[in-house]
Amino acid sequence: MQTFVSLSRTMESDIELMLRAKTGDDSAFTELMRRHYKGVVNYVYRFTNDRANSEDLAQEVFLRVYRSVKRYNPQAKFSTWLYKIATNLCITEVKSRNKKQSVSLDEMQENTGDLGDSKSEDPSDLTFRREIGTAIFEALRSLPERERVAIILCKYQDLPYEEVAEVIGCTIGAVKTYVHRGRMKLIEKLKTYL
Amino acid sequence: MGCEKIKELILHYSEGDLNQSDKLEFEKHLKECKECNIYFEQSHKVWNLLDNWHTVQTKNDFIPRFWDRVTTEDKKKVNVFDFFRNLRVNLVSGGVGVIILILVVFLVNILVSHRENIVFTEEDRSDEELLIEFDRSITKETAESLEIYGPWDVREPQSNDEEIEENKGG
Repeated sequence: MQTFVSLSRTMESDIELMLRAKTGDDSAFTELMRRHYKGVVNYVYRFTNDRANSEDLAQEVFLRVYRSVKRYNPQAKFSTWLYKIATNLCITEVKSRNKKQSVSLDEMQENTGDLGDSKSEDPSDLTFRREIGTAIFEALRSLPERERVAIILCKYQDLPYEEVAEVIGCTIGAVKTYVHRGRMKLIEKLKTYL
Repeated sequence: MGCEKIKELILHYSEGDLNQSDKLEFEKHLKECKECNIYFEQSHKVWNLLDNWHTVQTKNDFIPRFWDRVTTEDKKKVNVFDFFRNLRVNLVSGGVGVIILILVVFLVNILVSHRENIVFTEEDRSDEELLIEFDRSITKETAESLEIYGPWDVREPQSNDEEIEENKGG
């Protein structure tokens, strides 16, 4: 019986979990976080290229979701809602960073890259990965906001065009145009790596 | 189809959005146009190149840290509410205290002033009595000292007209 209950719990959709969380069930929210936190951390990382602060910002995203759980409309897909909140937060963060320019280039290089076992990796590979990571980040950063969001959501978060359209607040056709335009610009910016 | 149109259709072709005739025309153009062919290849290469920016590995304590954060923020929130709740209670009790203090001061003031008036009246009466007695003794002394000029006229003062008629008659 317990197995059945736990199985049915794992089969619960995000919406069902959110509805439970809405009634004050924190375990449902924990399950939602467990499903999505890695994606959100990486999404934030694509915007900031700052691994040290990505988790803090991702926590801020979930905190906002948690605080506004009562306002959740079950018609919207949870991930759409989640990435909408994350996008707003990331854009605000990027703008404030651009103003402050507090993160130095060295600091950025230090914070770039994954949290994997870098000691076991070939140093030249690690250097290349950092270099290409920074180049891609800079290339994406130079794109207009919507193109950048569309590419990150499609490429790195694997979101379908429909969902990306909802997050950005435009049509599916517009998303495709943003992705296409961004892609064309990236060819120019990353030419040396092609 | 021109080269610009072909470049615009790259994504739609890759997504399978083109109808059969457009698709054939697109493929035909790519075979014939070297520039567009390179552009098409680069479009795919750049998309694949993005995979080289690896994901970050998250720490395992993300969820416990989140709940710790929620608890900390809730405590802060409660403290703020407590402050305002206490502030309200303090304001009410403080207000009541001030009102009571004002009433006490007012009543004490009334009582004290009333008492002072009584004391003043008694003192004033004794002073008045003393003054009257003193006046009498002075009057008596003066009358006696003036007796050398004749008897002291103790009549009531008259009006000027009566005095004139009396002088005429006299």
